[in-house]
Amino acid sequence: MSDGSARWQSIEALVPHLDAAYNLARWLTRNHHDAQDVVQDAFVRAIRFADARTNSDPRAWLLAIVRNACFSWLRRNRPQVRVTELTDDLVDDDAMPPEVLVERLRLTRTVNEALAALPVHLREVLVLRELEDLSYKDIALIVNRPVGTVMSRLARGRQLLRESPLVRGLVLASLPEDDGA
Amino acid sequence: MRCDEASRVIEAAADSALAPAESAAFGAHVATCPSCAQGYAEARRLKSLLRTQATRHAAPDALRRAVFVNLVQDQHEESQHGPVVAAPARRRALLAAAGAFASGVATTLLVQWWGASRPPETMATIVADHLGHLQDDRLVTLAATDGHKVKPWLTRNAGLGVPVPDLSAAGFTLIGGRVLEGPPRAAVVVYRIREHVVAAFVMPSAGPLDVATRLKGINVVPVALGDLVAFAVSDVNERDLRRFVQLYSAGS
Repeated sequence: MSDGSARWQSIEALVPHLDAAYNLARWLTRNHHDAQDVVQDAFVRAIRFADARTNSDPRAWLLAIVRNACFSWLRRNRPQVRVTELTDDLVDDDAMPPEVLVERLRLTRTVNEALAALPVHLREVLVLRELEDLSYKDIALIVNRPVGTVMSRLARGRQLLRESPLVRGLVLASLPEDDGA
Repeated sequence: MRCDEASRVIEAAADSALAPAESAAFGAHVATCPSCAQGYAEARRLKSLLRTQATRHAAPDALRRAVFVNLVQDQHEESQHGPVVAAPARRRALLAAAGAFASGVATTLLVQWWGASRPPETMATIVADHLGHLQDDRLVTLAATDGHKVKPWLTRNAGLGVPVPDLSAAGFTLIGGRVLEGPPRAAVVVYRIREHVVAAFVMPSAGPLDVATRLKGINVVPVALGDLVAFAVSDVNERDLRRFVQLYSAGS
């Protein structure tokens, strides 16, 4: 391993973004087994081609590789049945009163299912924007499309979400006002 | 700005992505146009729903270990045989065996990685403690708005000298302090902004790799404070929480 220390630096730059990588893969494949496989592949590739990363942000660079790996996977696996266990990481929570938990689960399940049902090109930009909080510019880099395309896909995705009856009800219901965003 | 122009930029406005002049024109328009104001409110509510309710999946521990083991293995093979693409079957086996994997170089590096990375249970412990105190409505053990009272109390009771800056000018009002018995043991400095509670869990640093995360709708943003690390925890939006983290670490 003559280039061991450079490799080690690449690993250190990428490891903090493992959650972001997994989240994107999980939302694109909609399956936690395959998301894990895809992310492992992507990490190996990312480290192997670390020299090709010039000035770009490590997170955007890694997510671009993860995204490509996901699309390769989707092309190979499209006919497979989708595996749904979207709220599994929330149900073990016994710290909350039942009614709060039920309400939170209902909201989460509705939003997750609506997002998971979107076409993949709309889903990915929304996940990158709303869950990873990336800029239009970084998203454009990751999906390899102009910023204008990213913006129109975001608008289209949100439009479809607002039109889905369950989400529409949540949007119109008098939610507590959000302060930021 | 007219309605057709406003409706084209509603999404960008909700994303806070408009140029200042355009943002001002948009603001002026929605102030006088109920229909566009409604559209804008809906766009913001949808955005808030996605941000607070959609699941941000955290990498499972098995993946965290397997990625690392795979990287070490990959480098080892490459140095011996040239590039080898790991076959899915082998990766699955690695995933299963990752916990038990042990061989010279991998073990050493694995220890380095795990040594530098805080176990995910820490985040879960912090968030559970935060939610528990929110629900019981006993946010602090020592209630005081004066940092000069809170700081020595925390030093005495948590055994850590932690910053307790006055951030009221920025909208963060000090409520007081409490101790997380843990593990990990932490001094908790509690502030309020508007109707939201922001808690800084301060504990000895365990390395550089903690990253911002979100659990159960609660944002967690870590910041290094020399030998200590503070985890700012709140249901307030991420922008305000990051602002808090900057101010808090600057005030230390």
